[in-house]
Amino acid sequence: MTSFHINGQAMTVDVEDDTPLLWVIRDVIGLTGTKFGCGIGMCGACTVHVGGRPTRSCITPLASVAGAKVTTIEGLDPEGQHPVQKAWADLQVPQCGYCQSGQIMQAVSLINDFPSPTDQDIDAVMAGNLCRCMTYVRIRTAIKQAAAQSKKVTSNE
Amino acid sequence: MSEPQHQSALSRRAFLVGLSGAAVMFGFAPGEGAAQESGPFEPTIWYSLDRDGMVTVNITRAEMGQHIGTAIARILADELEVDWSNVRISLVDTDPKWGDMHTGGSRSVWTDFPLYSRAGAAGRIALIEAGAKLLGVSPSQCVARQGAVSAEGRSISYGEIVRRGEPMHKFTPDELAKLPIKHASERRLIGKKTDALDIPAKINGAARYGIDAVVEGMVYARPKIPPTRYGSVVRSVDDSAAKRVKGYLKSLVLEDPSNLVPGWVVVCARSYPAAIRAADLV
Repeated sequence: MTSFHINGQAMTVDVEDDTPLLWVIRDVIGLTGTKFGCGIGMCGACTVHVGGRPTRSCITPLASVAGAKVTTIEGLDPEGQHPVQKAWADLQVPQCGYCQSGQIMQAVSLINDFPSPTDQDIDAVMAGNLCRCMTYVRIRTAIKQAAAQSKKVTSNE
Repeated sequence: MSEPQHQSALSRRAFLVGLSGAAVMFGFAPGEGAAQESGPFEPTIWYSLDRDGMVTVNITRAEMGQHIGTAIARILADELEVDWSNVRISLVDTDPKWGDMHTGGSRSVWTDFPLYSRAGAAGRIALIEAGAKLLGVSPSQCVARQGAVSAEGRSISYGEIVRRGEPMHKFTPDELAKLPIKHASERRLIGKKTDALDIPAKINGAARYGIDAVVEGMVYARPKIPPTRYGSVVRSVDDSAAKRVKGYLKSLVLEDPSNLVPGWVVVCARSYPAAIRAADLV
């Protein structure tokens, strides 16, 4: 038995400790927005937040998140209107969309860490999130737009 | 957009509603008593128009990031003269009635264009005829725009026409094939910028992919792929180590007369991670 929080809800699952978190999220809890890509932490499709940090859930054993707060794409914003999601819609970022949950989760962390990201910051932080449709150009623009929007919101508070 | 993007859940519901609606419509003699029970209007298999004026366009092509559903829905909506905010797409099942569902070679838009534009035109003509009757004017006096039929300063919405249960003109395939379609200069949606209908579901985790499909009693399989594309043969399978993986079921050598996947073994297990782990040990 392992207990943790997912998207604000307490959860206890009866799965082997070494099961990758990804499969617990997808097949046990049933939140399928997080995707399986490579299974070895190289592509970023499975990115979720653990304790607020972007984490590759496909190589994260369940036991290591005991007691932690996990956030998936479904829990990012109750209305799906996080500034990053809004920028993604505005700029029509996704094509096939398979990698985009991971891209968005990574981008949210990036903006928290780098409120005014440069191209270099974006390249460095997003390099582990692959997109076979090559949406990188729009991702970069959307991150800058979301960062600008987030700063505006913060300064108004 | 109102409530559009839960594609799969919505499409299934819409499809069921469509079926029950059709059954109900056959249950009544045309023109009498149908007003309370009228189901969605489905002039062809390619779309339905419900009592709220919402159009659901059935898309048979594979969505692979080219936003094909949006392109095809625009083609239909342009001829139907419907308000674009009332259009949604439904990615269909694999029923043989949909015909050839191949998606590739940049063919989808131009090969589907005649089909969907004429389907839209047929709906518009039928709605104008029914709307004219309800307005008490002749169809030639009516204009259809933005999901409503108008004449002499009065108008009736498509949803209202469906709700009133006015019998609609049905077109035979021959009649459909002969319907004229708009001149390019008359187009109101095609060629204009719009947001893709598949995108909202792709930024909130709701979009469904092959990996998200679930079937009762489903098991998971991971392929072992040979190092060469052609000519590989499986000589033997050693799954003794894989048997230690909890949930491992068995390994199958694919018998492939088509020779597309020669020399493949698929490793089956009760869960996805078990299939991955077992395959690494076979």
